[in-house]
Amino acid sequence: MLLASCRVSLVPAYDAALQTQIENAAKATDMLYLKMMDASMNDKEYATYAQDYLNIEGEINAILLKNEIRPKSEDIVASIKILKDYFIKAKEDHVKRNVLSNAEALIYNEQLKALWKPVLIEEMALSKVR
Amino acid sequence: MKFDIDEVLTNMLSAVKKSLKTDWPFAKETANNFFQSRKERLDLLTSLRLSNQLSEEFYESRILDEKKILISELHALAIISKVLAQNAANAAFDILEKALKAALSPL
Repeated sequence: MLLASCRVSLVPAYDAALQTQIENAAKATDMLYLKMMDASMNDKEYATYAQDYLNIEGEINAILLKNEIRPKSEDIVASIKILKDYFIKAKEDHVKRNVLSNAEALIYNEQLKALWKPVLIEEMALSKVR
Repeated sequence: MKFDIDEVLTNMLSAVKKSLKTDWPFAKETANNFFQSRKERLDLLTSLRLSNQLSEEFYESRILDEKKILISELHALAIISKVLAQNAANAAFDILEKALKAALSPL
């Protein structure tokens, strides 16, 4: 009985719903930039994508909040904060210049995918706890 | 029942080794995936800069952002390492618990 209560716990418990939320938000980010790259020059202005940016930022904030109240989630919170800062910076660049070229949108998309990946892998790693 | 500490410790060590062997491929594949993706992004960034599709300012900013991506990847590898350590430690504790229960059962 005493030993049973002495199990080591270094990471938060796996949350399947949170993994789905991360996957959906990563997909929405990908879709934002794919739509932008597919659009004609007239449809690349920030206003066309303002609502998509807000929706994704809201999802990132929700994922961050859920992790901030989870015990032992410091590494996950750090990754999401890096992602959030980058997303806001990319959005502000679009606001400032109004139109992004396809090459710029492509690079933003690739780097955002690279920032979503650690967040998703962190949650997937938790599913491997035995 | 007799409690053989040497046997228990040997079994605990075996449990740790088995646990680490099971979990190691995930850690290795993740690290390789991060490395390969970084190489592909840097190739893409450089080719777009060389073909003048990206300004020098934009290119340099995104190269600096690669450092932040690396930091995030290191956090992910830290989580994986903690999962490895937790699984291994608990596998060892399970062996110890079973041995103690067996030793104490006649009492």
